[in-house]
Amino acid sequence: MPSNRRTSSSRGRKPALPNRSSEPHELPLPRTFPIAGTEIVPQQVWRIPDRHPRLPGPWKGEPDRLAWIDAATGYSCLILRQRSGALSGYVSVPVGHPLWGYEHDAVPPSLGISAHRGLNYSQYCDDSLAGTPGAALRICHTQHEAAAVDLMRERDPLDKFTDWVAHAGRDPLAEPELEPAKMAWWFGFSTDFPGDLEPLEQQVNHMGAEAPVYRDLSYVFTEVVGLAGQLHALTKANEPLAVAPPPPESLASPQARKRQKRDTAPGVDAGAPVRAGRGQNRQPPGNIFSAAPPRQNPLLPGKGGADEQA
Amino acid sequence: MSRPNYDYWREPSLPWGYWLQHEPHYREVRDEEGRVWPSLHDYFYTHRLGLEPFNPSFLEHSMRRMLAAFCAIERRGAGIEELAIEVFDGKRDVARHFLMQCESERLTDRGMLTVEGRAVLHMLELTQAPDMPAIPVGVADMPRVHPDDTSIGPEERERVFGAQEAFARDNLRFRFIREKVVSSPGIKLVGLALGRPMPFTRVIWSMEFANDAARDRMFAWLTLRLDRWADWAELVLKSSAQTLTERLLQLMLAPE
Repeated sequence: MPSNRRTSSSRGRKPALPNRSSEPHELPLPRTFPIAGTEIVPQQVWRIPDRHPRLPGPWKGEPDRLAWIDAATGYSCLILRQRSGALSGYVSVPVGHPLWGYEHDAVPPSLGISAHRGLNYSQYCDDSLAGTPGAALRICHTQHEAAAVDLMRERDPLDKFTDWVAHAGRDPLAEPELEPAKMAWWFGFSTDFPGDLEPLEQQVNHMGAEAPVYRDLSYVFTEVVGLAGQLHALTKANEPLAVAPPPPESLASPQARKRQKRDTAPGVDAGAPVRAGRGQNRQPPGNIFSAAPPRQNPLLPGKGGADEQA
Repeated sequence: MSRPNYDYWREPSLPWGYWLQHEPHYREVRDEEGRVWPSLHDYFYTHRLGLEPFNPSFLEHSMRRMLAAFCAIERRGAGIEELAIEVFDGKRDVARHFLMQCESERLTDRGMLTVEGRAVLHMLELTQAPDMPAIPVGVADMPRVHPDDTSIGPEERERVFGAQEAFARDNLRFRFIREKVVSSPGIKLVGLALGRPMPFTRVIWSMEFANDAARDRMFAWLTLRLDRWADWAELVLKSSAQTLTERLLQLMLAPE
């Protein structure tokens, strides 16, 4: 019988056999996930068979639910496939954000908050499906209190407490904490407007004579990260990057990584961000803020994973 | 022979119809001549206005429209254009006919409510249908500040605003508040929207302003229409924030 449950130490391990059940199921969680020319540390990668187009197309290989924490802003982000087969993107802002509690159409246009064709979702964390197999469809954190995932540090197998904290609530069927102080407000957008291709819909959205375009995972990711940046820019104090992006050379040697690790160790860099480690988007090579080496995805062939380099 | 003034034989400070008696089972009312009427609204519509209600729901709809129109007339001297937009679904002819009928029945006098008109307003406030957005009792009597009135100082203006805000906080589910939108002076329409997991207050409409003076002018304009806030919130919930923005623009262009 296939199981949706995952052990807490599954990140980065060899993927299990694919789950062929028709119920939403979580895919093996890679250490990093390549997307739109960068890499993120995913918190959830799900397949939702009912929503995944069966015909071949650009959606092949795309997950149907992808959750991560945006490194630049610390905001939880989510991409979720809709019934139409099109992807939607979501960003959550914490309590205290200037737009927390705003309906999406109440956001003044002068603020310039937009994504794709505009926001069309605003809601608290959706706990209506918590504890059910449909939990994969809800717009909510994977964990209400986002745990830090520090890629700069190898996990200590003997540190059971840290492991327990970092993976608390990893069970997708677990009931989330409903503490108002930790409640986030989600803004979202969809890609099922005229001109967008909806793979599972009979009627495609035509805009004029042009063929509809499928807004793929990379496009939606770019819009989500852009939306997170727009929302974060509204806060008074823009906090520094949560995690330093990679150096210009994306394939750093183990020696260089050790050197970088030593240089960025606590106490060495007095100006290191306090919230370092909350989330890790990988920026493209050449970023001027580069300070730390990248960690390669061991699951990706030909990308220079750690084992391959060694 | 002209009809004697209402306040000649009635107490003007009491709601219209105070002289009626309830039947023992509290379903009908009895007038001074012993005639029994299905309701106070029926008595007013049939006996006072000389009209024939088609059915109870039509009667309640008419009474609600009359309440909205009388509130608008009392608080801000609303004219045909504003009444047509807000009360009569954009039909200017119906609004004009309504105002002419009110004049002929001496419920208004040159566009202002008469003593009897105010008594009718109070009666309608107190007898609203419970299943519709309520116009709060006493809203027509709240102090008001006209946005263009330069004779009122800032302290007095703030005092009136404070009274309006306190009234709205206590009586309205949705209300406009003056609060910053991100970092600019702004006005928000906030209210308790039911939802999971907690029914927190939400912002369902907002607008930014260049400075506090511009915001206060808009807020004064809004407080003149305090009786419409509940309906405007319903408009946003049923349609969108954009719809309310368009409605406000239409009203601002309507001559007062």
